[in-house]
Amino acid sequence: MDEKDLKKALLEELETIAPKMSDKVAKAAICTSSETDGGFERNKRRRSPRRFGAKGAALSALAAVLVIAIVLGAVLPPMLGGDPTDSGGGYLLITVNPQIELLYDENGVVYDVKSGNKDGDVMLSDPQFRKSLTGKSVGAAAQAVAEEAMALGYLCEDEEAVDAVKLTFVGAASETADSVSETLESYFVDSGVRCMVVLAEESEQFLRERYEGITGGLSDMLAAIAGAADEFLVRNTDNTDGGALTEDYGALAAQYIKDRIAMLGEEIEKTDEALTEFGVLNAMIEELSSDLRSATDIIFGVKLNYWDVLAYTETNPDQALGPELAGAMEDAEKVLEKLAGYGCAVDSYTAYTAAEWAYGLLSDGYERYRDDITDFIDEAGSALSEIVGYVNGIYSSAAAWFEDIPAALEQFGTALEEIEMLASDAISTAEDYFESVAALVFAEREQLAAYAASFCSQRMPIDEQTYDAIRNELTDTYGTLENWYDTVFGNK
Amino acid sequence: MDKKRLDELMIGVARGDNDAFAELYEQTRKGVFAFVFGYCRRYHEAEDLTQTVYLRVKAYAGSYRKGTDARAWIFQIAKNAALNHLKKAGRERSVGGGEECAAHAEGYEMTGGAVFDALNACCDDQERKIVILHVLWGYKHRETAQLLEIPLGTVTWKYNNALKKLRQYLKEED
Repeated sequence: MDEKDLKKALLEELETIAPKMSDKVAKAAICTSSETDGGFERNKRRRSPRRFGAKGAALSALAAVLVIAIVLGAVLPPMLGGDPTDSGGGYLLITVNPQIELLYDENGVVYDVKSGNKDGDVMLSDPQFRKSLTGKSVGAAAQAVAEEAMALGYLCEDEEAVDAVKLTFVGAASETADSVSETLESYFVDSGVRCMVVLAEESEQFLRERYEGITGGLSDMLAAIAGAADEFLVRNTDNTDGGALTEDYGALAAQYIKDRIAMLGEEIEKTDEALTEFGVLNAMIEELSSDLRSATDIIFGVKLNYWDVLAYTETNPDQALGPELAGAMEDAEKVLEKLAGYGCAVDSYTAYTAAEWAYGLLSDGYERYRDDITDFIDEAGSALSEIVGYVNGIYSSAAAWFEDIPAALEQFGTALEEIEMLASDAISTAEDYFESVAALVFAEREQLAAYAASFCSQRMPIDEQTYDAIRNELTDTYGTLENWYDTVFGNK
Repeated sequence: MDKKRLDELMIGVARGDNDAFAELYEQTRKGVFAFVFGYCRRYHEAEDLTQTVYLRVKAYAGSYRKGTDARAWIFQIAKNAALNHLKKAGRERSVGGGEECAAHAEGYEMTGGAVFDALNACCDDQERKIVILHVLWGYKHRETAQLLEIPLGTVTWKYNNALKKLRQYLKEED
């Protein structure tokens, strides 16, 4: 079977194998842009939430974060005061500034509503609104809460603000979470609110470990971290234009950190608030690294360390955070350092030129060999075609001459096969030869890659500058990173 | 896939044209399915993942810009959806999140297509992708090299190697 036949067969097979459009896809609405460039810019901002989980007085100055946690099945966060349900029903936690809990049965119908904080009390103080939520499906109830949050001003329409809707879904069929997230996404798109719906799934054990014994502000911080992780995944998923984030990473991080310090500096008094801020910094790191291929490992390293810190603080509440959190901060600094290395990509003319030179050399080399291989195969193929044509011509002529045509054809067929085999062997030999040539080019490539790497290492001075800029912003108020840490987290 | 036609269709989809979307689906489903199948290795999972890709195409149609390469745009959506699926599968199997999909250890599910099954059975991941991108997505080798970020020579060599393997495998199966 030659290449043409293989291609044709593959296409024909997949015509049958590849699924037809499902009803779900057919019925799904197309989200169009209202304007051309403006619409795109708006959509892009919609998927760039900048903060998660900030709390207290600072919230009013920030974009709201609507966090909807759908918890189904037997595991419920003890902090929320709910009892595990065995009936197959569920528990929906919606958090903006108001925190609303929706309990629903196995059919996905809400039967009870609770408030999780003071703002939730405000929202549910309207008995009509509260009553209206029961009897609704989870999706409809979630949308109603979102609408009320908008009406009450918790979802900000500020140009600079972006809102995020986070769905945390535990231990039940993904169909419910999918339908709820789709409902909310459609609602926010139609209503023009800059919101992003993030769907996260957690294993029962993971959620149990996360929420057990955690209270108050720490739960918010946990939501912030979880939200940041989900945001990272969603941004990777939504990165439809191939990682075209163009922000200046260093400046963005520096400005953010400066803003946070200016806003919260002396107000940070509690451990959980400090950890919240660290969580927000984590989220920022993840946002900056959202288009890096190796970001997952980096983020994971920081976050795992962060969980160690969290566990440590829970078991040793009276001890200073210093060493553990300092360790976590060091990791965060390493992340920033690495990000600086990626983020200021090609400022170094030398490195860029070297990389281009190396790539060009490799491309030329491959180009040269590739053309030779292709030409040879083309020629050999042409020669083979000519041979086949020639023999077929003999067939046609000979058929009229031989009385025993089958015997004559068999004789010529054998000759044709032999010719084909000879030609194929010749092609194979040539391919083998050029394969070894390709191997030589591979070897050369390694050396060239080493040259390029050594040139690229010259980028480090520029990376350090950016990193230093971030550090300077961070320590601007306190002089040194150690002073900042001590003031914010440790001894005052 | 006809690149120019896909661009035209995608512009129509961005304007809310369902007929354009239907044609886009027809033109691209083979490539999308074949590509994502490699990540999940199970027909029904690949089927679900394919539908997810097109749900996202509809959801993000508003962000498609005229002049953007629609084929590359759809490919990126498919790739991200597949990677997200992989990560989710990995998280469900180990707390704390590894990215290993247990299905990878189990081999591919047969689909009934001789050549497609042979492609999944005998070619390595990169060879498979190169063949799919060339044959089903219509990418030239140079474009494939850029997409996969590997040298052009590697693409050419692996493509030919994949064809050889396919011929050999299909011959043995016969």
